[in-house]
Amino acid sequence: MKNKIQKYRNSLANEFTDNPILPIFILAFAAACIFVPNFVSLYNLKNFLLQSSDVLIIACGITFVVLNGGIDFSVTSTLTLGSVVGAYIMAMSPIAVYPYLSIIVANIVMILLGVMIGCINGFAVTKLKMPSFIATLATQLAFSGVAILFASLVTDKPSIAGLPEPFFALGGSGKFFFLPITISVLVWLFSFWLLRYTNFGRRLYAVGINPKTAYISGVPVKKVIFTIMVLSGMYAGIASILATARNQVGVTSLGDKMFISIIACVIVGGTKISGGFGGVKNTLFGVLFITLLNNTMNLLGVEWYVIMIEQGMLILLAAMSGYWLSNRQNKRMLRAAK
Amino acid sequence: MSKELALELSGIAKSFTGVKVLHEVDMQVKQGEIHGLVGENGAGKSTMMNIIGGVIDKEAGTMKVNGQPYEPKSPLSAADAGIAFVHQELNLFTNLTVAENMFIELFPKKMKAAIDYKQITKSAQDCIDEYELPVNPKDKVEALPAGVRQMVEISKGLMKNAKIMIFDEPTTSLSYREKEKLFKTLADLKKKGITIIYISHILEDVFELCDRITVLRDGNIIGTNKTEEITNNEIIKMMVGREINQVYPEIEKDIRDNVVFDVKHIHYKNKVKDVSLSIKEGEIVGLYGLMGAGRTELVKAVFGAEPMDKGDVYVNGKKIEHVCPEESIKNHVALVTEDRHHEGLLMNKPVKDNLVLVKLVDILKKFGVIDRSKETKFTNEIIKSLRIKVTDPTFQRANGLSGGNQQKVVFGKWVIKQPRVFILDEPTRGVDVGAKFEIYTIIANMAKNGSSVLMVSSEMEELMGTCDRILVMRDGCIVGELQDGDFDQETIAKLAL
Amino acid sequence: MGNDKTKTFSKNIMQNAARYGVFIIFGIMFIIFALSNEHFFTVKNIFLILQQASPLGIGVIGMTFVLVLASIDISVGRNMFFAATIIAYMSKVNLLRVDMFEQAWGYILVCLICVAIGIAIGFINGLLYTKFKITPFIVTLATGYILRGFGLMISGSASPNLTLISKLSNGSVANVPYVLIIFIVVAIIFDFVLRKTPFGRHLMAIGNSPESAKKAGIKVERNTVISFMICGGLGALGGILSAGQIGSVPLSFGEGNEFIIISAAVLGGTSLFGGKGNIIPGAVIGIVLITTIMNGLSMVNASPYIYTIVRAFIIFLAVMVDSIEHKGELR
Repeated sequence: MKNKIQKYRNSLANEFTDNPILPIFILAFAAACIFVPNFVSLYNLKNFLLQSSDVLIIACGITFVVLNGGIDFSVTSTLTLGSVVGAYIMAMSPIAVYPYLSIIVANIVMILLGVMIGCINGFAVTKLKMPSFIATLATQLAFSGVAILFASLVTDKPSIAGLPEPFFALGGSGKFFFLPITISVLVWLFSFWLLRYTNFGRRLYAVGINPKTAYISGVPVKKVIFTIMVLSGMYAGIASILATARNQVGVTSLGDKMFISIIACVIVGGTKISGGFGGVKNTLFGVLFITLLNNTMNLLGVEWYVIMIEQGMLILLAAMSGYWLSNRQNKRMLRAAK
Repeated sequence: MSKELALELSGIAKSFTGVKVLHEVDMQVKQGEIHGLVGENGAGKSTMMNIIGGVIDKEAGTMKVNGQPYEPKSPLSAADAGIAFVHQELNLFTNLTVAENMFIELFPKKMKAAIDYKQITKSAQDCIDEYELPVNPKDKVEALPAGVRQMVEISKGLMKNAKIMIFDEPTTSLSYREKEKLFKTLADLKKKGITIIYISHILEDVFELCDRITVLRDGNIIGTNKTEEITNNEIIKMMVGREINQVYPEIEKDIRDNVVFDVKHIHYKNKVKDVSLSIKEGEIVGLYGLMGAGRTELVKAVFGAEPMDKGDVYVNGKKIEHVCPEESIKNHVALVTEDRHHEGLLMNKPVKDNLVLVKLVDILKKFGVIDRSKETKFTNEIIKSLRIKVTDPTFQRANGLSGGNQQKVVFGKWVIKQPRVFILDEPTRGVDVGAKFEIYTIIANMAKNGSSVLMVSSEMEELMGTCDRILVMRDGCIVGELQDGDFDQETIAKLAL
Repeated sequence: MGNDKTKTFSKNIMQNAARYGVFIIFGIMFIIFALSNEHFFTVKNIFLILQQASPLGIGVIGMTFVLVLASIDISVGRNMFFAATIIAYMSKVNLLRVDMFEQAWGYILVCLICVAIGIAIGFINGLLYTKFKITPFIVTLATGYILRGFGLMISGSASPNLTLISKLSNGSVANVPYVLIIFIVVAIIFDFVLRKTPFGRHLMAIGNSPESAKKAGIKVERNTVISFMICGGLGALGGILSAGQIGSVPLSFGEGNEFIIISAAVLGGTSLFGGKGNIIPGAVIGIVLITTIMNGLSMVNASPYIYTIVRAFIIFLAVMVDSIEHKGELR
């Protein structure tokens, strides 16, 4: 019995060291419960979980790319494009009269759009040898432009409304509030499993740490990079479904403010931007923490731009402390080797 | 004329991660002489020169320049003391011109801000004329071929007007004519009273140029002699002749007749020029040569780590269509690379992850899930049989191990796969004597069980002790082959030089 | 031996073909514009294009220094926004009074303030990169957002007025716009710095081979920080001139400017991979080309939504050309 308790203690301690953001999150959550008015309401907590869901899915996709040593800026454009195209299918296209059919078709299309953008990114990075940050920035610009263009062609209004009711279930309306949360948890579990238990996950980390060594050890580096770009796009497609359902309209401003938050989730969560270290567990706690911050700040009436400043600073802080920590670790190891 | 020594080293010692590479070295270089320094790969020549040049610190001993104590803290201190060091690797900037490269460390300025291009062009042209370089000051380095680049690098050093100049393998890319020009230049320098230390593995050059020759072997100075008082053969003997105190495993050889690994007409840039070789089942073939001979490039090309320009690779008679690491591994070929830091290990990952990296494809369950129990089983077995010193392979990272153990991890990563063709590039680099024996035993056992081994090494002794055949490579070609029984240190050394 | 020569020859053709191909595409677009609208190819329009191109062009010159080091600065757009909001604020609270602008020194003061702000931002960017080894795009991504946040805070989510420097931004002497003169002067000065000073050559060396640069005694970190300071300073200067042309600081001012700037630099021959920088004529040609396309699009009444897509397309092309040219290099 004592041993079991000791084991649990050890694994808990390990969790805390691997995910330094976890204790911070717990403290922050407690503080929010105590000090922030309206935080503990059912409505707010529901909101908090729902917001976290979309972000979690995209952040998982980006975590893959970052672990591999790259970055994917295009996810917000996937979000937007998916939103307007999906909304169009469900509200304005010829098949809109068949709600369930249009919902299914729209969902498939939204995911496929993500896959397509991911393929373009993957092609640019592996075949054209473009650095991932520029390639995905270009696709981001291009496809947000396409989204705006598409929206302008189908409607004069600022958003596409009139989506079928059953679709909102995916956004957590009414008694379906657990649905998007379940979906994102499933996606997270899948990602976790992929990274920790499969060959693919190992290869991902290897390429992130040292692509040369990985290549010589037989890892098909180009295939791995291409696959994660596609995965990231696909995840963004799924998130686009959830986000559109939650907002109940198709709108082009969907992804605007999200990117900095998503990157903050990944970096503050502990995944290293240089690749090879971290994982979706880190990202989970990062998402919880950042969404908590956003949520409480909204409740406190803090302006969006303050949130922007604070997220930028958090990213810098996380990166700086990452450097400082690995410095200490290296020094310790050098002493040990002597 | 000062009777003092230009440079005096006493008791210089140096270790890298626990392995001693220089053992209390004493050396005296006289004023105005050209002093040759020779030795095999790994003898310690570059380390010694880096200490003199202020690039690395010494552990023990003292140095004097012109009778004054000399303790360089950086390459700049060496420059201040009047020492110029022309390195083996080029430090040229390909996107700048010849003149700019020559003056990169100290540009002459006009009006305090702008580079005086007129002056550097003129000075560069003077230098070019003096050493008859086939370039213009305004040529960009990226347009120059390797030999000309090396000459530009050398001129950089010559321009520094140093009193002591060290040249480390300055002729590796030079043509015959370019070499002759260099020698004339060195002779002129000597007339001006400049002291020169000349490191080269080309003995005939050393004999032609140098007044005295020092031989370094395994970090020890074997002796210094006047050139006129010693012969080529005696120098070679001093370079390689060591007591064979390394015991090699006595394991029955079982070489069969069928050829397992066959490579034909491999071409790789200008480093590997039409090399063909074949290895039988159960055979251990050694590949000896000096640095720059093209051995590493050859093995990387046949494995697919670098894309070869031309050539075919056959395993058990079957041609590998698209030679790349993935394909080679599928065909049971393995490559232990030379550079473990950048190509062999994931330094920041645990030992276990490193060991199992290549084996992963074999231990998967459904859906690509890794079979953890098999992972642990295989890695523990390998740790035991190679005696890798690691406290907890699941958590201890590769960069926390000593150099020798790191090498064993790289080795182990491939041994786990039980390859049929095992290519090794300096497999015992940085490994202590006891561990070396373990590695040789494993290699021999693998051969006995039917694997074919191709072993690249700079240590002639280990090749002689383990191999059935030794191939010698020089300048991108295979220049000689010896069978077990005919192994002879001097013959091999002569072929390689 | 013969094989090697033919190989490098065909490699060169491939590399240059990509670049020339892009220029040909642009050429075709210009012809289409000229044919579609008679006003496109007029002297008046050409000067308009040059006037529009100049402010961002100044930013391109600054960015070149960072790109040469194989780094990047994606905070430039928000840097511009921040500096502009500060100036607008100062004019609102009468720190900058209209009477100052009846003589030249008011304008000079504004430019100096902006350059100082930009240099400070660049200093922080460079420091975070060199001291904490954080990749430049994460550093500048974060600082960019922080700057935008502060900018929004200062401007209070309104679009502050910035007409007081419009005489400089929109005015001209003898039909030559002031901003064009400033652009040309900056281009000449900094082209000289890059090509003919030890600092510039050291930057090229660092971009080519940081280890060799260290061995040659070049102060890599110090030079890197200075480059970021140049990029920030020139960026802010370009920013205030650009805002002055608009007459106010709209909420989305500056968003995406860094990509125009980077595309222009890369189109002009500066490589993302470092070691290659081209201000005259490269940066100038790059920004003029891009501005011409934007101008042409408006001349043919293109849908406003096309702009972003075209810009993305340009970046993609520019970087693709750069990657192709870089692949072939002997490094």
